[in-house]
Amino acid sequence: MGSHEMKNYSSIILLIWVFVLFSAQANAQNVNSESIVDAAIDLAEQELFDEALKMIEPALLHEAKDDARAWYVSGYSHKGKFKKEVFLVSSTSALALSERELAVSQLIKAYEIDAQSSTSISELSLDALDYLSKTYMNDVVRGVRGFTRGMDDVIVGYFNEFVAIRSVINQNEDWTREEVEVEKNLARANRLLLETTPTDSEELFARVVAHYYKAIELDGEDYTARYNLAINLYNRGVSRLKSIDHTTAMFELMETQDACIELFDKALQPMLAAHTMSPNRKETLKGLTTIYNALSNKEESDKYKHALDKVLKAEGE
Amino acid sequence: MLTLGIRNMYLLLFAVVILLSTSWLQSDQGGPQLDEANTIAITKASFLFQFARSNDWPNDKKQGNFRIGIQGNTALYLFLVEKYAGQTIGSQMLEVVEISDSEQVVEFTHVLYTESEGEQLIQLINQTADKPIMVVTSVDADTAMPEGAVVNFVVQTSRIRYELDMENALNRGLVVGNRILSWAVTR
Repeated sequence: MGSHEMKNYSSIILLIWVFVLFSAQANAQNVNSESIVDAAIDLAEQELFDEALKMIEPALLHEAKDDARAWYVSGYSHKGKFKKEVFLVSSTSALALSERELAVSQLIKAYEIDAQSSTSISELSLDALDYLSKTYMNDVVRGVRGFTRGMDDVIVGYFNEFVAIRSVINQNEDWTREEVEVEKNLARANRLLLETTPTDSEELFARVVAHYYKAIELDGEDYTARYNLAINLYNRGVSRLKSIDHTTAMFELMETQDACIELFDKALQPMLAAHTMSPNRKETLKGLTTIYNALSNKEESDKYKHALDKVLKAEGE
Repeated sequence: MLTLGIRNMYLLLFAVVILLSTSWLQSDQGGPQLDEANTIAITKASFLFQFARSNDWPNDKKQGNFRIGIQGNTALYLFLVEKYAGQTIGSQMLEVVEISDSEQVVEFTHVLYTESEGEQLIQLINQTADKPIMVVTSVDADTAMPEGAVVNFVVQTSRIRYELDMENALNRGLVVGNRILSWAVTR
């Protein structure tokens, strides 16, 4: 046997040795990872979520990074912490929000890893995500009900989270209708705030309008968004006219009138669109009669008044 | 394993919650109500107050109440009363009167707004001729400013503006204020 052949044999032996070494290490890691996950599950089942997370989260960075069970137990533990926080404080406390966010991202990860093998982890992850998605929707409703100034983006953020989770659960679900309703509700919430705010707020009014435009953009067939947008624009103009008083100077009167006419003009387009969608609706006919009158267009105002009278007469018969 | 029996309960409970949440969102409660205020009347009232305040009235008209008379437009009258009654023009208390009979017009009115047309308007103008009364009319855009009127409301690009007949004002002994003059339009 020559020295060259000896060299080759040595290399092969070295390679085998390295392979065995790594396999053993990997195996040991797997065994280690499994035991960590099992221990974390035990802790989580006892609702010792902090302890479970202390055990499992470091492993997610290394040996358990591709283990669906590990991601699930971590996500589950964060979900548990979120629920505790909701019970004790609120679903929108800083801790609850961060726990829920972590729970969602980790459960999605668990689902994605397990999706190919389709074990019970996928199903459990989806169940947990389903629960969390609904907590986001609850926060949307709660946010709209107890609306305070400037909460718009937070509420829209909750809704977007809800939709993002739902798209993991079922890609075929369409939540556009609900998004339209969220936008309309936010418009309404801002309007109510504007009506009860002692000082006028251009910012609140801009939000009312922006939410209705967004609703219209989302759903080209939404009658209410158009009608309500038109009414809000028109009423804003009237409100500005009413603000004229004995302290108003002539130039201010001219400027105010210009601004009002601009608002009435803007109100016309969505009111006409609403009318096209539902030509016999009394409120739209009344709206057009009023807007055209405010624009000093007697001919058009009379036309819609006549149409309104006709509808009323038909109803009376 | 975390099969966790509680999940079934939650699923049912939250199915109900989500249904309630979305249906609450979809209930369009408390939509905005159309403000039916008469915008034309509001605008005209604001102008009439400006005319009263910005004009240079003769000395013999600076005694007693300052009177704005409204003929043929109750909404305008009511709005003027609601918004401006109790205000003063110079040192005179503003009084708004609704005029149904032209006999009332003659002596004590400073600004007289009328929606009369034809013979009735001619009669009214003749009755107030040579008197320091600012007769304000409001005629269609395609109708010329009535003879004898001092101010006439016109609609220009959907806005209410006013035109002025300086000669009539001078004939009546009225010195139209600069602010009124500067915003008058021509056709």
